[in-house]
Amino acid sequence: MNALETHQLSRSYGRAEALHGLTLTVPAGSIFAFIGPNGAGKTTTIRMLMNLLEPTSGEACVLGVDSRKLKPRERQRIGYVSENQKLPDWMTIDQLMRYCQPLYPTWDRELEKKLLRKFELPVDRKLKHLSRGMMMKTALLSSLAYRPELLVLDEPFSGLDPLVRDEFIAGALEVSQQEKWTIFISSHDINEVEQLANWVGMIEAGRLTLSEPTESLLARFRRIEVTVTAGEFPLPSAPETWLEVQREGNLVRAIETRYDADRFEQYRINRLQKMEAVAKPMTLRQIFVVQARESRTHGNIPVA
Amino acid sequence: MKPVWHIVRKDLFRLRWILLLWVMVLIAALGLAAIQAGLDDGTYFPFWIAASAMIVGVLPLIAFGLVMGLLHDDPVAEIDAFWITRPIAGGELLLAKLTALMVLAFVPVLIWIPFWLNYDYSWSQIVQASGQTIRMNFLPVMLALPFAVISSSASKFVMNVMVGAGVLLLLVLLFQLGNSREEAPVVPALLESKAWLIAGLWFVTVLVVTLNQFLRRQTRQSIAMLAIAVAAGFSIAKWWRWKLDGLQPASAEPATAPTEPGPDAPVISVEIAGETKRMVVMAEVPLTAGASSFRHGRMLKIQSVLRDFTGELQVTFSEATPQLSGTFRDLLPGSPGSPVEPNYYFIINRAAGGVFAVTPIHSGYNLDVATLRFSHATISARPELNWQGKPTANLATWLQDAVLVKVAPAEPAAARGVTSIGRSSP
Repeated sequence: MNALETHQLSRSYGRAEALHGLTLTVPAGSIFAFIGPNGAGKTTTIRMLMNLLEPTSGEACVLGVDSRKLKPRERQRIGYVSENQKLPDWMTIDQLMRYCQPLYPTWDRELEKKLLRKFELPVDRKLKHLSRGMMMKTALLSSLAYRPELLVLDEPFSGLDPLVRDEFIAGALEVSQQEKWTIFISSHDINEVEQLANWVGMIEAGRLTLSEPTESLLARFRRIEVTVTAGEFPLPSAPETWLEVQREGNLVRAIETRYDADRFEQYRINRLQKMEAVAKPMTLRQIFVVQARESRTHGNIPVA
Repeated sequence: MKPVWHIVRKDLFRLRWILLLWVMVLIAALGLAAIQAGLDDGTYFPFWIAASAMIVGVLPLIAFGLVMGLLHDDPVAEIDAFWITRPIAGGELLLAKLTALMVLAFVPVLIWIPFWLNYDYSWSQIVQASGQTIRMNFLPVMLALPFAVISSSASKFVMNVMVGAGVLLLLVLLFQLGNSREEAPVVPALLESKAWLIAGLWFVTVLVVTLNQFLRRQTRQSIAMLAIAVAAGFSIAKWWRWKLDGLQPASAEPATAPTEPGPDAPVISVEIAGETKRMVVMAEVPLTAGASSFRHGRMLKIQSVLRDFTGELQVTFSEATPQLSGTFRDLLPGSPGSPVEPNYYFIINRAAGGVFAVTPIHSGYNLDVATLRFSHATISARPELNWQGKPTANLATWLQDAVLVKVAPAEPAAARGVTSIGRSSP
C-alpha cells in the first residue's frame, strides 16, 4: 500500500511549467525526503497532493483517495505543516489546540501535553507573537496530536536554527516511529533530512530525477578514485555508469552510479590492470549534488 | 453540524470587540432617536438626524468590517489557508459563515425590541420592523460578500472594494455621458424594472460566486463572473426597454387632469431649505377626517419632500410623535379596507399655474426603525412627466406656493383633505 501516489502529474502557471509528468510513489510507513533546489516544484507537488492546487493534468492519490476528492474523513488522517501555511495568528497556542481538537476524533490530549512540554511552547502566547521556530513547532504540534497516518511537511526547517530543527525532527521522529506513520518531507537542503529519511526522491526543474530507498541509494553510489601507476588510464572506456570522470595528475576520480562490489573488483582486475582503485561511500548530500549537476548538464536522468 | 457551530463560536469570539462596537452604535442610534421622541419640537430633529447618520453611515461600515473579518479568518481565495488542510468541508465552512451572518442579522433586532416595545409597537409592527432591520443589514452584506470571497486578505479586500467602487463610478460616468447625448425620456416604471433586474442579477451573482468560492475555490472564475455581471448590469441600465410585468415596452405615463383644492383647505407654514433635489419639509398638518372621527384635527407630519437621483419627487408623511404609532394607519391609502387609488394626490400651484399627480408607492404605513417613526405613506411623482400647465423652472419656489390635494372620490366631501405645503396664506 502506498501512502502517496502521483501519475503524470503536471502543473503549469500560464506558459511556465512548474511540474512535468511527475510519477511518484511513497510507500506507507516510509519517511520520504523530497529533495530539490528552490523552484524545483516541491511545494507545487505538495499543494496538489493536499488539494490546495488543481493539477493541469495527471492525478494524485493520498491514502488511496484522489487528492481532488479529499473529504474531512481523510483529512483527519493527514497532518500538514508548511512554511507557507497561514495559521490563525490571533489565537493563542492553547486556543489553536482547543479549536483543532473537536475536529479530530483521535485527538490525544496526553500527547498534546507531552509535545507542549517537549517543544517548550508558551501556551498563552498568541501565534503572531511567536518566533518562526515556535510557530513551526506549534504547527507541528497541531498536526501530531491526532496521530495522523500521513504527515506532510513542506520545507519545515526553512529559517530554523539548528537547535530548533533538531527538536522538530526529534518530535516528529519520536511519534512517527512508534506509530509507523508515513512522513513526506520536502526540503531544498539534503543535510536537513538525511538523518531521518529512509526513502529519497529528487526533483529538478519540475521533473523527478530519482526516487528510491536511502539504503539502496547509498549502496549504489560510490566515489571512485583510481591511482594510475602504469601507462595511461583508459578514459574512453570508462563504464557508462560512471559520471564526472576527471583526471588530476595520476589520480582519476569518478562517480559510480551502479556500484556493485564484485563487479567493481572484476573491472579493476580486467580493465584497470590491477591499478589501485577505491570506491568510497558517499553521503546523501554528495549524491544530491551529483544528481543535480548531471540533471542540469544533460537534462533529465532516468529515475532509478 | 458540530464543526459548523464550532466554527461559528470561533468566529464570534474572534469578532467580539467589533461586535461590541456594533452593539454600542446600535444602542446609541436608538437612544438618540428616543431622546428626540421625548422632545416637544415639531420643526427640527437633530437627534433623529444623528441617529440616521449613524445608521446610514457607520453601521454599513461596521457591517463591511464584520463580513471582512468573518471571511478572512478562513479565506477561500487563499491556497495556503489553514482550514483547507483541516477536516473542514467547503460546504460546512459556508454554512458556518452563513450561520454567523444570520446571528449577526438578528443582533440589532434583539437590541431594538425593547425600544419598540417601549414605544407601543404591536407584535405585527415588531415583525415588520424586524424585517426592515434585517433588510437594512442585508444590503451591505450583499455588497461586501463578493469582494470578501475573492480576496485572500483584509488588505486585498479593501483594495478590491476600492477597485469595485472605481469601476462603478466609471460606469456611472459612461452611462451619464451616453444619456446626455440621447436625451431619452425617463419612465419611472422602466427605471423600476431596471433596478429590480440589476438587483436580481447581483443577488444571483453573489450567490453563485460565493458557492463557487466555498465549494471549488476557483477565484479567477469568480472574478470573471463578477465582471460579466457588472457588464450585464450596465447593459441593462443602458439598453433595457421593457417593463417587467408582461414585458411591454415602457413609455411615458400620461398626465393627469388638474383638480382644484377645496375652499376649506388648511394652510400651514413650512420651511424649505436649499435645493429642491434635497429639500426637507418638516410641517405638521391637521387631518381632515370628518368631524365625527376621533382623528379629525390630529396632526399629520409631512416629513420630507425629496427628489431622488432619478428626478422623482417623494413626499413622506408620518404621525407627529412615535407614541401615536399605528393611530393613523387605516386613514391612508393602502391601509386595510382602503384600496389604493391611482393618482390619489395632486400638488397644485394656483398662483403660478401647474399641477402634477402623485401616486402612493408605499402600501399603508411604513416603519422607519432608524428613527422610531412611522411613515404612513410616501407619494411619488415625476413633475417633468406628470405636469399640466406651465412647467416650472424652479421647483423649490413653485412648491412654496403649492398645495397638496388628497382626493377621495368614494368618500363624502367632508372627508376630503386638502393640505397646503406652501407659505402661510392670509
